[in-house]
Amino acid sequence: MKTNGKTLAISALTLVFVLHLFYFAVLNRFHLWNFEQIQFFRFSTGYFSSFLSDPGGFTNYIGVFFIQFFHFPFWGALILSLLAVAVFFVSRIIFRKLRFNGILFPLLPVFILTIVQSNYHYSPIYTFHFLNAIGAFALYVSIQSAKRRYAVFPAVQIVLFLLSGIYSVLFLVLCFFYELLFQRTTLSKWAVSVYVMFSVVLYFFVYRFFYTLPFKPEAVLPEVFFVQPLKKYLVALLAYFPLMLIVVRSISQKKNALLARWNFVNIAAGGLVALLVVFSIATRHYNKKRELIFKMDYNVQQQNWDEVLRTAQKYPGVNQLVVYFTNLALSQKHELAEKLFAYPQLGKKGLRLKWERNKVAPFYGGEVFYYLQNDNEAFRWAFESMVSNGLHPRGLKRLVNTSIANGHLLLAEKYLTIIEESLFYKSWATDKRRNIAVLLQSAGAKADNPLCKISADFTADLKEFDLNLASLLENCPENSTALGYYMATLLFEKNVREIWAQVAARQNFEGHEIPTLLEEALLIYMNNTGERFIDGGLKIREETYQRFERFAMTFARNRQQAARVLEKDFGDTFWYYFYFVQ
Amino acid sequence: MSQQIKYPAFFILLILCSLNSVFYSCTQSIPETANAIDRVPEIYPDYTEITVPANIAPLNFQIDEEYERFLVKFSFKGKTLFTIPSSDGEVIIPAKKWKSVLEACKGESYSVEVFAQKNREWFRFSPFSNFVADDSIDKYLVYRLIAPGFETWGEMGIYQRCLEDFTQTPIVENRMTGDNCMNCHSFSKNRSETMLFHMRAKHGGTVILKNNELTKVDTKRENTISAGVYPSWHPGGRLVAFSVNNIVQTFHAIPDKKVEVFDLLSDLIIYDTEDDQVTSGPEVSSPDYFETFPTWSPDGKTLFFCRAEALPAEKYDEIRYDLYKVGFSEESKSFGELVSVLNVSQNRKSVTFPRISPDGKYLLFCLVDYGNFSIWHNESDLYCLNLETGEVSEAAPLNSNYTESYHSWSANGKWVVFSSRRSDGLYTKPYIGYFSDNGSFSKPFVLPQKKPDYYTRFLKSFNIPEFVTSKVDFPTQDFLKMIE
Repeated sequence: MKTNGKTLAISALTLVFVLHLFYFAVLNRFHLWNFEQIQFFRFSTGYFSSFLSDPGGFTNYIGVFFIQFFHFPFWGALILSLLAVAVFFVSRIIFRKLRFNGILFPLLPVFILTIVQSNYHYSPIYTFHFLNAIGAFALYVSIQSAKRRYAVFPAVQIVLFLLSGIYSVLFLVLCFFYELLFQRTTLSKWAVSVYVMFSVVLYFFVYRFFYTLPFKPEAVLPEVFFVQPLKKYLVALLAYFPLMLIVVRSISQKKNALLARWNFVNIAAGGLVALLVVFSIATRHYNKKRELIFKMDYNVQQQNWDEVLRTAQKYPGVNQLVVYFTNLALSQKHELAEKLFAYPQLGKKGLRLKWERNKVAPFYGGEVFYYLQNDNEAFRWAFESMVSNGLHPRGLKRLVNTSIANGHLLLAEKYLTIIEESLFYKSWATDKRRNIAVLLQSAGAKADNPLCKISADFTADLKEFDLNLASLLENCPENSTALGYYMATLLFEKNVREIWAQVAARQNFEGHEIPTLLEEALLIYMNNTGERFIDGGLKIREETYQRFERFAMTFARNRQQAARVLEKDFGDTFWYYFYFVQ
Repeated sequence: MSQQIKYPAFFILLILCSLNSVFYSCTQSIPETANAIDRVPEIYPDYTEITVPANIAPLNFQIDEEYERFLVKFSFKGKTLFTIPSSDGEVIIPAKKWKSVLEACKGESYSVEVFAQKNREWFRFSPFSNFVADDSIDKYLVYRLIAPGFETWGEMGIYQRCLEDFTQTPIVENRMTGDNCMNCHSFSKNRSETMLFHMRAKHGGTVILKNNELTKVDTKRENTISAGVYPSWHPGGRLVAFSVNNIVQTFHAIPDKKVEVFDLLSDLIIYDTEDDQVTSGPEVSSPDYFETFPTWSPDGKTLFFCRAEALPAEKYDEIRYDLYKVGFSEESKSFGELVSVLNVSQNRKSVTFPRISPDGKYLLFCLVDYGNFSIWHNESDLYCLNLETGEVSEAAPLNSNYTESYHSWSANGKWVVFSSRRSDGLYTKPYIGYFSDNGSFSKPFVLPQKKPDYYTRFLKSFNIPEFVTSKVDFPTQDFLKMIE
């Protein structure tokens, strides 16, 4: 029975951790990749020392070190699963020291961590801190001699405070309950009083005099504790062990040990809890929409535009970031004026992100400016996103590329020096440095793409959704991305007169057929004004005429129900947008 | 057994290597024969042919030449003072040796000669020499370290750097204050005892340190445009002249311009730090003009400032500031007659950041094509106005093709420090230049750092460099209590 129980336990644990690995490696692949994208680990003493100015800085450094491996999401999932295994084993050590057996209770923190880790606000770094705190407590309860425990506490508390900052409060609370509930001697009561006083004095003095920080909650607590959906789970995670100490104590007064043996009830109860957790994660905590957005972002970074569009089709509902990525992909495939209305749209709000002083807008918002070859704006958005949130690889690469395009080669080299200190971007930086060396040798050659270099100045519109497309096209009529976005803007504005003028100005439309949506706009314009092309250089396809007739006939037949009736066959046309979308 | 043998052997080898290295570094002799290279070596930072204060920290540098090893000889009047070997081109001058150079060469020049070896053959670059001025520099330099961002901000702080060594200590950092924005630190007559700076957003207000007491005040009044912005302490240490501005910014599209910061409204006020009173006058707060960048004459009887015709935002590139002055009575806090000092707008130029030398004879300012926020203007250069003769001359040795902007004088008026973007076009660094008795400047040098390549990795700007004669004894604990 004992062997069977052990086998069963090992099997159950293996299953849990394999599922954990699967959950993160497969279902949260891009979520993990995103963690790597928002930080930038460097192998330099200056970078290391920058962590030491805050309590818990050393563990933050270790955390960021591991997060760099999330560059490969499977490695990231493996690291998370190994962390989960470590939390399990440390928890198990603690419970065993309390003579409380079984695998379910040590697994519960792992389940809570899986829940919080599903949220993108929760950095794996916090798990390292949690592990430090419970690890210190496991060490503490492993010491049999009370006097040694008392002697060890201050040293552990100081080290833990330096390693994990305010997480050391968890250690203090656990030691407090442990001594009061499980030792219950006069000396232990004195000891916990000293523990509390020592810790309060330690916190106050170290915060105020060593780190010179104000001693108040918003300065002391990690940012994640103020994220509303996570707050209750973090409280649950931190309260779990203190509560369990109370529970264990109250049970151990009645029984010698709980769940010592494997039996049907225990297995069923454990299985039920596990199922509930899986169900809860699947229905409440796993954010499929966010995973899809991160997947789109990943493919934008890879310039895998087909995959961006495929992912967009899977996204349920309308999201500004999704629309923004979709339109960027369409523009890079030169399909903005072909398929704009085949995807959910938000008008001009879907062409760029509004400037906002937050973590999201500057991080993603610079992409469109980069592809529009508005290098100053692309530089600025990348720069701004790193000023408030710290360096990240895409931002640094963007600064290099835009600096090279602008001919600011010394500046590009400065950023390359930083990138060269990383593990996974070093080779990229080395290649770029070679490019710069070539550029420096060729006198006068400044920009990567001098064709569309902006020479006539204009200023950026901060507040709204303007992309300065007319100015970009004035600077460089060959800027096909700017032209695509300009046409999309005109379509959104239902400005058929300007579309007519633009198409007429580009008689053979860059040597291709007129894009479908523009043909549709032209037909509306021609229908409304009676104008026709004069020199015959432009030709609207016969098929478009026929479709327009069908649309017009259906519209005329049933004006009341037209929007509903026409949506199925014409929902992706400009005509439908023109007549039915406000 | 083999393990036991291995480890001692390894340590012996290590000790031998270390001894060899020490021996090598102490006794490396100057090559007797070396092929002459008819140019000075490329070194970073450029510490060649400069004038240095007699109390500056070692000017460590990196030799940017492709050789296998180097030997650097420091000499004075033909006599070798010491040599420094380097395998990677990094030249770290020991503090004691450096001090001996400065003491020995006060009022004269020392010479630096670089020898380089490649394929067992030695080469000798042309030597360069640096002049050690008799005049010392203020002991501390205070600056704000901030990413040269456009709209957002992150970590920042106001720091003081001891110029006699490499010690940098924070005066205040925004990690103490909920990551707010802090700016415009200012001192009265280079004295560290009297200081102010602003905090924006969270804990907003002006923090004033005076007589060892810390206070936070709100200088905004109902009838003023804003709280005080650009400050200038009256020499008496009681009053502060502030500009009050409505500042906006926009962003350029062409490669060589980035940001445009300009005023929609701008006036001057006088703030009394003792009775919390704000005064002004029509001479310095006209609705038809933008008045900004106040600066006091050393006797406190005249206020200099920049003034431009008030134009709407769309004409930002036509706003040009001239230099004006106005008499001031400290007792009555009233202004006298407004006088034009320097009219440059007629030449389509604009004056910014006027700063008067401690003896009151010279006024150093930035000249730009338009506007007042010269730090984002590549064309911004430093010019010097002789207040006795009215003669204006370009401070040519200080200027580069990039921005030279915010500047301040040392207490003895012999040194100026200014911000320049010359090294990479974006990150400002403090450059120090000597101002001689005949009113000319010498080639400036960048603030020395312990590691010569410090600036290549440093992603913050040195903002508003201000000399102070002693260490700022900022009451951090009082400040934290104020924040809590």
